[in-house]
Amino acid sequence: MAEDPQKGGFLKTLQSVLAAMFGVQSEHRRLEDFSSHKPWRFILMGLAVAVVFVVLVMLLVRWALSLGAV
Amino acid sequence: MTKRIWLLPWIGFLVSLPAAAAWQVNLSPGHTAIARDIHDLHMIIFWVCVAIGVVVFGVMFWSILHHRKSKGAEAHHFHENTVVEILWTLIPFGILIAMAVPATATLIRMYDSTEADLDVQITGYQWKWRYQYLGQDIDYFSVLSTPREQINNEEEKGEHYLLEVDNPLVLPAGKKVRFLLTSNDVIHSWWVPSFAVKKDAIPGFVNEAWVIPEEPGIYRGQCTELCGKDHGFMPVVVEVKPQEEFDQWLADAKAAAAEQAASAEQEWTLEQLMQRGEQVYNTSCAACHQASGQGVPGAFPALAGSPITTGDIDAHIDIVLHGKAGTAMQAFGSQLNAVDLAAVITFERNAWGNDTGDSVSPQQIAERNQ
Amino acid sequence: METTLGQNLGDTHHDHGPASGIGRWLFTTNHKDIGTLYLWFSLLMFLTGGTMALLIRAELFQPGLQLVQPEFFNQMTTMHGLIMVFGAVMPAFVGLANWLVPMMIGAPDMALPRMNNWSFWILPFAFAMMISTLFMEGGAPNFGWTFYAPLSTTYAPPSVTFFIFAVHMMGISSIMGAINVIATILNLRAPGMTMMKLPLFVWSWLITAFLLIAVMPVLAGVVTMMLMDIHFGTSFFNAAGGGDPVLFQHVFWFFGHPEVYIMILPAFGIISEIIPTFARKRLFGYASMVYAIASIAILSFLVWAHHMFTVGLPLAGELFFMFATMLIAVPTGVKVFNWVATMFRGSLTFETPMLFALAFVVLFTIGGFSGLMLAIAPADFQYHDTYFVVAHFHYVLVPGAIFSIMAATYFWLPKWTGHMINERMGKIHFWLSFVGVNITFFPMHFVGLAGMPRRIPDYALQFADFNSVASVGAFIFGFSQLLFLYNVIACIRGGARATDRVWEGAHGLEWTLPSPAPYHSFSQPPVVK
Repeated sequence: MAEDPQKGGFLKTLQSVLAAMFGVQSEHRRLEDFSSHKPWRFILMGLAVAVVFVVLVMLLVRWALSLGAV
Repeated sequence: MTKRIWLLPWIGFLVSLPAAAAWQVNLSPGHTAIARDIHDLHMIIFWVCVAIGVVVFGVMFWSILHHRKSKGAEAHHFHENTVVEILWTLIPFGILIAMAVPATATLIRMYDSTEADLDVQITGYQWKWRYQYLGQDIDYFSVLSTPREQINNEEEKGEHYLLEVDNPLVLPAGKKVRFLLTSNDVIHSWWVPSFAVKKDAIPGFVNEAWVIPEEPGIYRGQCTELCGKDHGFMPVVVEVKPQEEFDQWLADAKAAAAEQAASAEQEWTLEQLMQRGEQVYNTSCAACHQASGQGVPGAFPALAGSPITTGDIDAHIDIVLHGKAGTAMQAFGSQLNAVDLAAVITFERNAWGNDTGDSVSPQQIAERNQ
Repeated sequence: METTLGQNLGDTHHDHGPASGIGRWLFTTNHKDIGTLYLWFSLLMFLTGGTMALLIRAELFQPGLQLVQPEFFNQMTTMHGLIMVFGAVMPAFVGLANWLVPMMIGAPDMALPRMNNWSFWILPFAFAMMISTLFMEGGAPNFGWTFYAPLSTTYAPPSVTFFIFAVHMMGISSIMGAINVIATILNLRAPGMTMMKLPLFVWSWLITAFLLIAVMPVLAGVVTMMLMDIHFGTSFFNAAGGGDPVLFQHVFWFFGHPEVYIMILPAFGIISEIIPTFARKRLFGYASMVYAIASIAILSFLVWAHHMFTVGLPLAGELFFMFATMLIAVPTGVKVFNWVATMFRGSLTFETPMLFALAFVVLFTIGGFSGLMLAIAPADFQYHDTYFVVAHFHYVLVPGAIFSIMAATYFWLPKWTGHMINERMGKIHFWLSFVGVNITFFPMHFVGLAGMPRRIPDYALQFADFNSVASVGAFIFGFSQLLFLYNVIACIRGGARATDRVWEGAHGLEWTLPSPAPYHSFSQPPVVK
């Protein structure tokens, strides 16, 4: 859907989104990100990462419960 | 020297301040293992916050003091350092993960309500608590006992102002007690700080909580979910007794219940009913309909001169027994015994100039409450 | 983005000025006029809600019932909360956006001026309706600003229907305001003003606007469900009919938690404009700030049930929301460090806006700390619905959101009016507010931990001392706001001439305009390098 052959591609978008969720990004990468004119790439990746985040926390909960033996 | 005699009362006042005033600033450690665990968690996270605060505010005040223009400070133009930013994000992350471990362990223990020795069902009502000892045939209400005069500043306030009830919940020390919480009307929340038990009582659903009270004593708490007008006036009081005393209390309570049932058979005079009815009215009805019987316009109807209290007796009995759907009027048929119901209806029909002269008997109530 | 100094003549020419008379305000489509309307409306609501707060504090000055009865007390806590959240803080931020966004991005006006007029003029009617419920039979809404069912449905006073309608109107107004902000930022930027050059205030408002569009319909949904339950026989929140009262809380907090960010993100933006100005240094970590704010737009939807730890969530749910909350709190919390790093080795001066910004950093951080404590689910069982929570969110909202609005007012007022503020009076207002706020809200941590529940009109004797202290503080804070009113009026009516740049360290397009700013901001788009 959000294919952007222009530059970077999947991995770079993922990196940027992860950096956003962590809350730290360098000026250099920001300039690079904003030179792309496809915000949808970042928005869709953001939603996807949020889903992954939810799944990860759920797995964490499961693991904690198995340790607590409930 | 003698001239300074006027200082004496002031000194006395200052000395008495710490004693008279309760300047409690922190969570109390509580009286159960869980409460102590929670207190420990609270203190750890508190000191973590203090430590972070000292560093952040330290740097900030250092800058405020030393890097001011009036002292000739020149701005140093740095505005990025990703490494530093990553570090100061990772450190709080690490601290929080360290905190999550004991917090999870405590939470898991709080949720383990299995193998209870005693089950008590707690039901929230506007604005009182009902305690039912499951399988024991004991069932009673617990209502604020602070007199109205104290609340209205007409009397000196007592030591346990607003934290005292007529019938406390009685529990045995050292036993695991499981609470089943629900509500009859709106959401309430049952809280005893010393036990670190706080659980919402939700109409139509049952929540669980548990406690192993360690020491005999009296523990006080309050409703913590806004539940209407008298939300601030429905305290929780728990009396923990040693096992033998608890057993004795249980036996007495059962005997009293039997006696109560017997009294429904006897004959009651109008005067007896009026006397008892006034007490019942004040604990069960006055919160809404007011001690004056005037109600609160727009919210709670007046009983003085009302068509219900001066009209058909059976209709009056029915509304008290079954409540009125869609309003705050509760069904008292399941809350009060036949004698109390008879007494309060008699009282309502004769107080505040209603003067119908009607007397309702407990037998009449039992008949309609089939 | 260099600015030119020394032009304080202003108003050389414009096509047409404001209309005269009341019509100017009723029919205006000018972003400055509408911004002004929003800000005055917000100030009026702030003083109204504040008066209610003072009534609450007066009743709580001593144990026992003195001034009001419990039913009226509950109406006061409810109206105070609703008015402050929906009437004071949110319209103030919209007002600031109206004034500043076009000036900051080099636009002539907002993108949708007629809708702008409409979205403001809904508000006075919505609030007039809501406040009129105080005079209705049965009284105003009395179920707290969180209006949990079934207290707000089956057991509510008849006026609840008016409340629902008022909330719908506020929601429409907010959504239209948000659409306008987004349309303006995306379409009306001056040539060269790329997204990555946007000032942080504009960035934070862009994200806030998306949050508003996402959650206001949720709020509208939940009040509509209430309306159905009350009038049309449904049972969404009634267990007897197969519904669930806890469903209400899930839906409400799904709106409510992003709402918290709606009320604080623009404040982040304001503080990120003010601190660099008075530190004469660029903001430290601008990129991180933008990225973190952007990710909040998504992550803030994942933590709502941490407001509900005691409703009897299953253990797995409890753990999920505890972990998620802890993980999400850190990246936003540490943005405070960026402001501190901006000050570090700067060249600081302490004019009134800077003082408010500094107080924001310190006191908002304290609110953040208590938030961290509340995130620990087991401990939350002791804190939940006590005054500790009251202390927490007032620290975030009063010296947080409200102080940022005051800082913004003092910061941009010279640009708006063409007059400098009276620094001396501004500082007196600041110190009285700062001291008052702390005397009011800090003791609330203590009584909360000691066991005082929130929303009670009367309390046990051991809470008496700190409550009277808090009440004294509230009156200091409350009455010192009259000074704010005075300062604003005085600045509008006169004072030293403001230069175009106003503040020595100011950067940004709005400072290139003359002071006072012309009626139409940029008729010719500026070129941003």
